[in-house]
Amino acid sequence: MLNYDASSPLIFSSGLFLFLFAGFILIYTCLRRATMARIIYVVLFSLYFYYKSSGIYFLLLLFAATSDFIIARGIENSASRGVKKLLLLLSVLVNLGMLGYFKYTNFFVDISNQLFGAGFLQFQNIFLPVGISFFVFQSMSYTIDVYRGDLKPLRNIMDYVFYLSFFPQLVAGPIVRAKDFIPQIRQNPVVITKDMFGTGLFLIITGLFKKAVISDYISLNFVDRIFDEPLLYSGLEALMSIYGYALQIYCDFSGYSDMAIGIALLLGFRFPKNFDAPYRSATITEFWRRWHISLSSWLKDYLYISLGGSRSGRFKTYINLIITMLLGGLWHGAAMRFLMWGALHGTALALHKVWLTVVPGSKMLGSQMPLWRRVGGMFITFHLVCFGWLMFRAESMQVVELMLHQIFYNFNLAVAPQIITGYLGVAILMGVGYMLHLLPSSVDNWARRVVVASPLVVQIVMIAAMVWLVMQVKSSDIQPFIYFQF
Amino acid sequence: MENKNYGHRSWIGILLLIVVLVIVSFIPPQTIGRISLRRANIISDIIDFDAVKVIDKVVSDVVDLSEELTIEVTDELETTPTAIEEEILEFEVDIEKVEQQIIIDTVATDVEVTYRWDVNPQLEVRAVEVRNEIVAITKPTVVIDEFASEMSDSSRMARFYKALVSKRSHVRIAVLGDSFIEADIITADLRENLQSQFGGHGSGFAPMDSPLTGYRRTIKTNSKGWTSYNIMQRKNAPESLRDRFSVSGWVSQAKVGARSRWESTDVREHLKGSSIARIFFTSELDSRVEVVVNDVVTKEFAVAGAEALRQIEIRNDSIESLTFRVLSGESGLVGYGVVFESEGVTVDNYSVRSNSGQAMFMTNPSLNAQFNNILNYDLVILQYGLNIMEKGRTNYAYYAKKVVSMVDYVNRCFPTADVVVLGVSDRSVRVNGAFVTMDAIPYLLRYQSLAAKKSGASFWNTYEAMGSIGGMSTFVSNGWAAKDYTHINFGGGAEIAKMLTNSIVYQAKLVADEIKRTEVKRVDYEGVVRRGYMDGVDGELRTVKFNVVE
Repeated sequence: MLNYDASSPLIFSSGLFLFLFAGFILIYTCLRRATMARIIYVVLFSLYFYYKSSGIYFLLLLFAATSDFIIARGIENSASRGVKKLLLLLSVLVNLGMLGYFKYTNFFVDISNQLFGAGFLQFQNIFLPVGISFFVFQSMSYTIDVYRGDLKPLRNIMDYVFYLSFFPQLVAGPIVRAKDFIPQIRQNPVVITKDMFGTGLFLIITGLFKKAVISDYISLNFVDRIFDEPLLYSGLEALMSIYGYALQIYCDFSGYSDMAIGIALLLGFRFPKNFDAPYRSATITEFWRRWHISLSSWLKDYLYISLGGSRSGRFKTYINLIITMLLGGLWHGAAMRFLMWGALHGTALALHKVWLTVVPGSKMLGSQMPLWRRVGGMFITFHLVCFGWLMFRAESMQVVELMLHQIFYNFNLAVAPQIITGYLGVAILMGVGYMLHLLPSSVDNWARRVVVASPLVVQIVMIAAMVWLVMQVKSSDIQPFIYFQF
Repeated sequence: MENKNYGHRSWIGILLLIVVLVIVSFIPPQTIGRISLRRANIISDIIDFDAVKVIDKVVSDVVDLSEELTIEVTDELETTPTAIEEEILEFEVDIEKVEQQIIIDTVATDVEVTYRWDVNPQLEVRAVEVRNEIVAITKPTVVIDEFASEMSDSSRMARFYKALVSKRSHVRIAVLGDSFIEADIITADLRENLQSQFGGHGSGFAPMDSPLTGYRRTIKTNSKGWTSYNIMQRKNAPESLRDRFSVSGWVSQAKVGARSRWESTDVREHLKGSSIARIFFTSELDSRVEVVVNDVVTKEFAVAGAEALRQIEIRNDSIESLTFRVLSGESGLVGYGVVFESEGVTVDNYSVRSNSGQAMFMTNPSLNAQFNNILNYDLVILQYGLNIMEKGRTNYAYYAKKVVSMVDYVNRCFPTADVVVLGVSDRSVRVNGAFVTMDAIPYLLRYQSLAAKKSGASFWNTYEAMGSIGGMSTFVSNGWAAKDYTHINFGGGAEIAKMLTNSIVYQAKLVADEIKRTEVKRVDYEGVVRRGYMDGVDGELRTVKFNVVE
């Protein structure tokens, strides 16, 4: 149970994590004034946490930390600009080299086999260490910031290992910048205010609901099966499954990062917000300011700006946007469909930039628009994003075709009432999910304040109720297949 | 106040949370309205109290009681049908009546049953590529149980195996099943494997018209102008069609301009290159129909009105597409489908979703028998059970009796065929977040096997075969099965087909070896008894050489 098991990585919504965390936090609290001991203690726990997910590859994490720690020191100590540049290049090469080897080798093997004939290169059996895309990006933000002079390199390597391995955000983000995180490491004593505690709890409760109730339930009981065999379902079901997937991926991803942010808060660390009700966006540009903010801002600051950003003319700007999003797409996974997804978003962002310059009175954000335009914009943006999700989720272009075929040629609206009653649990969760999503932020804030203001006993009852609900969902019967089509 | 440190709250809180959750875990499962609440046991999440192990024990307990489990499928056994069975009580069958109906309806009629069309008569018929040499083959993980020890020496499937390994021009297998094999799952690969081993081309049976054709990849079907009914929705069908179902499970009433076009695909080997196609229909009124082969040659047929099953038998060196059009008389014309075949092995998939097998009692036995008069099935495989199984239920005696009747029914309608009952496949349910085999499976398997034994059929344990490569949860994680943990897809079908083929070919080889070395005694001219063996095929012992052993 306490050893590495490839088939069951340690996740926040598991019972095991609850017990491990209980043990962890007891000692953590005792160490709140002993800075160095606390740092070592957290590092050890984080490495164990990583070992539970990726086994021996926790050494890779240590390697990445050591290499960038030394390089950053080198950048600071060298006087010549050229040497600094070379060292930065070395850091980028080491990081992207690791990412490239572990994540993209087989993708490139596949491409070259398609170009030069099957068997040109052999597929390799390479383990993908969990969270490598996240910690590589975090580490790069550190050396780049040091190079740019925005950050003083750390004096103690333990601090850097602490930053890179900190378990709440280690495997699934958010991508926390060294700039934001490092000043919080050596706080003495660790201070957790009433607001931090309550907000942390609130984020864990909502995160559990999003990830382990909505996302897990609708994927297993509805979305997956339709993407597996689209022809067995009506177009209406196919469309619902795309909406379902849009909700699923949002709930899964944002729910998990909410839990990460919440757990960090309980440990006295503040992370920036990672998702901000993205489907409320009225334009695609706004969407990327609300979706996976830590990634999109990373891409903007370190990739888009490095490419030249918007400084070298309009046309170059559009190209830079598309390149950024293409690579951003590839970051999500090594497959053609992620590239296509990135291309779709890059093109949409570029077109929206054109739109903003060409169409008078056009606005970048929904909050600047009159209501009717905002609603229209949300509708269009949401469907564009859903089209992207269709490519993102479908295992092949053939599945994309089949899904669209069913939607356009085999819609079968008549089965709607049967679908609702047949998949009642899914329908309710999807309804609740989207409704909560569309509620104004003030409601969210109000709920958060209620949790913060509640006495401890009430707070515990709230989270216990959520854990109980998660366990009910986890052990609920699988929805049997229902064929409405025939 | 705002800056007060709440650090201690975290661990007090989490401790409290654990206490609350432990208390909650004592609340027994309960049902409120339609919602059933599970016991939320936080401890089970971390301690290896695995539901898997408990169920494994149940399975081994049941299976270990190998010979005489207290259950016995006898007519005297008191059985009360359950709710699911109540629904299918209408599927009663009187085998005697079936027999009589077959006899009455299949007496030779003077109407023309078969309309032959040899598209290219001057063309030599392609050489038969029957390969009856079987290379050495490994012992299968799951063998087809012919209950040999209980019976006389002759094997229950001897006829079929002999047909396979002899130089018979056609060997025909029908697989009757439910949604598990729908769209040619398992059968696509069973067909490919057997055709690779023993020869044969073509996709076997394809319905005249069905909403499911898009999902089937082994043949492309485009049909228009038919109203089709599935036997499970028999009540929706007009009175006149309700007794017109065959084991295919679908009937298609022609409307004006009814037409179907089939086209071969290459998703499996040997699907292309079939040299014979048979279109099946009935035409109570005089009708005219048209057939187009390979989109090039067309021929019209005038069909005299009669109740009997009709076929148009088309022969060509290769039939890659076929169009069937109803030109007139559509109101009396009911379409069934087409069989694409060639010399060698043909495997027909007859699947009807939601069927526990008993829907066959509602098919027209004489129609089935007429199909068999034309097709002469050598083997019928029955794949059923998923639609009768219920979580927690251990008694399937009532269903087992029905399985006995099913085999009996098949024997009457397809007297040329041996029968194999497939045990129910693996199906997982969720217990404490883990996917484990449904508790009812070992019981249903036991009843199915007993029913097969009693009815004279053979038995192949699908669950065991799936289990040998990891069972349903492995199938799902390998992408071989759907997320309902019940249905497999083509990937999973290929795996099961591989094992089933292995079992068939293995046994067939034993039979082939045995035939080759049939022991005989000969008294030679000196009056000495000599024992030896003769080489021969098909049990006919055409004398080749007498090999003296002693």
